[in-house]
Amino acid sequence: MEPEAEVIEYQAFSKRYGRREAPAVEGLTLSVKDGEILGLVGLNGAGKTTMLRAAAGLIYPSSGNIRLNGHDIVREKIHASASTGIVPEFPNFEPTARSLDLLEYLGGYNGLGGDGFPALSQALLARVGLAGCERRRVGTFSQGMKKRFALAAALLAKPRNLLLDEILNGLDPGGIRFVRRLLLELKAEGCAILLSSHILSEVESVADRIAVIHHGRLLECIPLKEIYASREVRLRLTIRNPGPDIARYLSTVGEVHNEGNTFTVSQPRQEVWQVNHELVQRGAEVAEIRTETEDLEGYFFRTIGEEL
Amino acid sequence: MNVLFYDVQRALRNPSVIAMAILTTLLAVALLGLILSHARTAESNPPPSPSQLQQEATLLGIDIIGGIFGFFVPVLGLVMGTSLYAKDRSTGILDSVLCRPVTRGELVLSRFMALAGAGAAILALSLGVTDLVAYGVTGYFIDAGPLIALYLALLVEILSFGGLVMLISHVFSSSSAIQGVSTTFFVIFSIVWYFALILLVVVEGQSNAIQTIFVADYFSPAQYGILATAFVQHTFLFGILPLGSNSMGIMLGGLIAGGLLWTLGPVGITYYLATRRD
Repeated sequence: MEPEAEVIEYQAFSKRYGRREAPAVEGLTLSVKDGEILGLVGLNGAGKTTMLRAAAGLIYPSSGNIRLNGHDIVREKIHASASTGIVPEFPNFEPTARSLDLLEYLGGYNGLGGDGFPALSQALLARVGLAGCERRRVGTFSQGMKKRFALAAALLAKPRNLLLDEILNGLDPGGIRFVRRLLLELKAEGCAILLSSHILSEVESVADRIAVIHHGRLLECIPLKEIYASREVRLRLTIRNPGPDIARYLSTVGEVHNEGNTFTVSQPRQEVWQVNHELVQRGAEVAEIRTETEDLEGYFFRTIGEEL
Repeated sequence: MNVLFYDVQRALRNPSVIAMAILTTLLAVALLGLILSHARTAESNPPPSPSQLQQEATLLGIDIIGGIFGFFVPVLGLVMGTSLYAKDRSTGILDSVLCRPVTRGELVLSRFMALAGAGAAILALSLGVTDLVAYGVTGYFIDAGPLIALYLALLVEILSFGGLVMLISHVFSSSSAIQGVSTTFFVIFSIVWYFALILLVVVEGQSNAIQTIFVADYFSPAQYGILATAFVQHTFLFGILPLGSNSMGIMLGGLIAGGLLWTLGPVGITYYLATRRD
């Protein structure tokens, strides 16, 4: 499905927790469209959780505004929240409540209920991998199960927008694979998803665009395809008999970094086979030659200006 | 399931609430049963008339219920306010509700209404049981009028202390700070207040001090049971001190206005803070 209307919109959003504190987020403008997953990446304290909590209506913006499906989260909270679900990093629910009862209670705020609701809740619990836990108390759930339950609670009212804060934390490998598939399903259903995660490889596997947040500011918001197109490619070579002629040649291919027998050529202007051919022609004994492509982690650290 | 009904149920299922209600009722029942039985034995010759028995059941019943419930009910309010709102706020549980289509103000009001529902139900049950004991011993129920007046005064105590703990949770964020400040409020309004007023009686003399005490009691939500008892019984200190027919100037209008202020004041400030601060 092609991305359509912008449904999660931050407009010059800033949040300051105290008058003397530095802003947690400052002047952030960003939007997510229908059927799109926007990966939110940043170091600890970058402002990702603040962004998500503000969009969920859990904290007030200090300035700017956040609109969900065109509704301002502060002035039109009920309409804005009706179309939005959130899974926080550390979900907290009434520990003594049984999962099915709690879903019924939470659904009550969305105007859900009636005879068919228990069956709907059961199906939802099964969808998030909690089949058979309908009568269990939420306090007995593991962290991963709480995450799954939070996901069920978020999906209860079939939201058009999902705010996911470190949803993969606390999940086992099976859980991570399950969430990845679920996100892609929800995206296909037209959900706009704002996904914050430290696990950049997972963000890379599902996101359409990446927003890099650093010290509360949006540094870049770019489609993953463009990152792939612009990312740094390096050629790493191990040559048994390096000499000045070989180093001179490699410097014509790209920017060279040399440590003993190992050469690293950044952004090579020739194909691997051409470089190999030239080196052999010059009498070089090439023990190893391979290309290294910058991953999202490399891109992220390059963008925030820190060494990997 | 109705959201409000669920919250009321949650408050009533809280083990601390159940324990407090049972303890208070048992204390009141035991004391009332003991005193009424003793009074019956002492008055056996000549036998009291039915109206005397009814009056006795009402006088002793209201005084004992007012004294014991008046002391313990603020704790019930604090526990219910904590379990319904303050604890949920300090632990982040409230976020799981606030992210749904509900405003902060609505959430404050719905939890306060749940507090009112649960408080009204538990008080009705406790007072009902106590009234049954009075009936069992004397053969007469406590007069409905004074009992209803006391019931409303005790409800003011529950709602004001419940509202106070909700308010405290918007000023302090940690559970221990909320508990500490709430307990301090209870100690000041219930215990310190009481002993300070007794000290006043000693220093000023009984007749001069009582009116001051009643004026001061309007400023403590924990004293509403005592004020209401004094108003309907025309006595003070478990019936020991007669007050005369005007109850030393305690006015129905003042009681209602003060009760409304103590009931709605804390929750009103909580509403204001909740809708303007994180």
